[in-house]
Amino acid sequence: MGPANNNQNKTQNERWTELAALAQEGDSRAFSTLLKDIVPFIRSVLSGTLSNQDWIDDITQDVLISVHKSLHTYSPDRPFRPWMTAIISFRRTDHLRKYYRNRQDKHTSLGDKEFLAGHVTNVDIAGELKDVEAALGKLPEKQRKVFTMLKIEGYSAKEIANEMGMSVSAVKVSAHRAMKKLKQDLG
Amino acid sequence: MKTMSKATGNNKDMDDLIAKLAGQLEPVKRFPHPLKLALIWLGIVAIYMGFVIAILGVRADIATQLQSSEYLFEIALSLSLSLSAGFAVLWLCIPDMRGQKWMIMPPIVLLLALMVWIALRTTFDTFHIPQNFWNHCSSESLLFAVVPSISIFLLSWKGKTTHHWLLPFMTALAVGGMGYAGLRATCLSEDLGHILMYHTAPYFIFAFLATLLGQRLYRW
Repeated sequence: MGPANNNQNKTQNERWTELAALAQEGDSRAFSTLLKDIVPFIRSVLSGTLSNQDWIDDITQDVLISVHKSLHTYSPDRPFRPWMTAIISFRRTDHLRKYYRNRQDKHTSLGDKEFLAGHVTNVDIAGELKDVEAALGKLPEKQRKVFTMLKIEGYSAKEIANEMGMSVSAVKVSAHRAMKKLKQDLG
Repeated sequence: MKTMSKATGNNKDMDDLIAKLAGQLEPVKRFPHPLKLALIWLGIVAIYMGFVIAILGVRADIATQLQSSEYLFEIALSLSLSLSAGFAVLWLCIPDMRGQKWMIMPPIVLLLALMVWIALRTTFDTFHIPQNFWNHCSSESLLFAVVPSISIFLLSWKGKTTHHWLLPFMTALAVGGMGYAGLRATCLSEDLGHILMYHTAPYFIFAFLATLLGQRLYRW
């Protein structure tokens, strides 16, 4: 980072500190300017670790609300950025925790065009994905569940074994058989 | 094109939210400096501990115990654990801890030191675990915990922590360390089984419950 950038950051930090101090006194215009100013920064921090644009938007909004709620804890004799970065990191973790806690409830069809547009890089292969979905549908229920949890939802073999009351090796064998059948089905 | 219109929509949502938040803004009273809160807590706890010890009575052999470097070391360890954890709580209730993240380390190191100390005693001293789960020391351990836990909760509650698990855990260390020292100053027993069962275990249970409950109470 060059001296010009350092200067720019320092100016930005000082500006945010001043705006936050004014906001604490009830200056809504300063607060509005502060929130508008920090949105690109929040987005850039989140973009470094998240690729889902909807998540970035949701967390950015959560951070703005959190800044409003916790403004009284900010001390103008400290730089504004570390205070805000702590909130960004907290809200990101909170969002991911909620997402992973509920991930077993999140099911979607590979025919869902909106989902594909948001999560699949090459939407043109959506037809092939539908074939995969059809092949998965032909598997015995237990095998399909094991395969889906292990290969699609990202659970570990141990977690699946606990969930389904199987041994870890039985889970691995079941997933292997499912994979073999899918290969045969899909050529 | 669709993405562009979605982005425009999101920007509009963001602008609406900012306008709404700015519209709701009122002057805020700044959260006091954590050191000020820590000193208030320390004052409350010192008075309360003095009061409880006066009611329960200092152990009869205190003069002898004060000659023992082991006893003094143990009391100093538990009090410093309590104070460092209590101070950490009041910094933890601010999002960036005012840049003092190192404050998390001393209570953890002191807790480990106290655990190692107790573990070492189990290897040198003979002891037996009591059969009864409840003893007058169990209720006294609760008595020592009441005001320190309520006061630290009230002082930290208006903050906005970004450490939901750590803050209640530190609260439990602050309360537990103080209670442990209090019990060692009032209870005559030097039996390690008694100390583990009635002076230490209640605070481990308290730590477990406080951490579970605290992460809900401090959510914002």
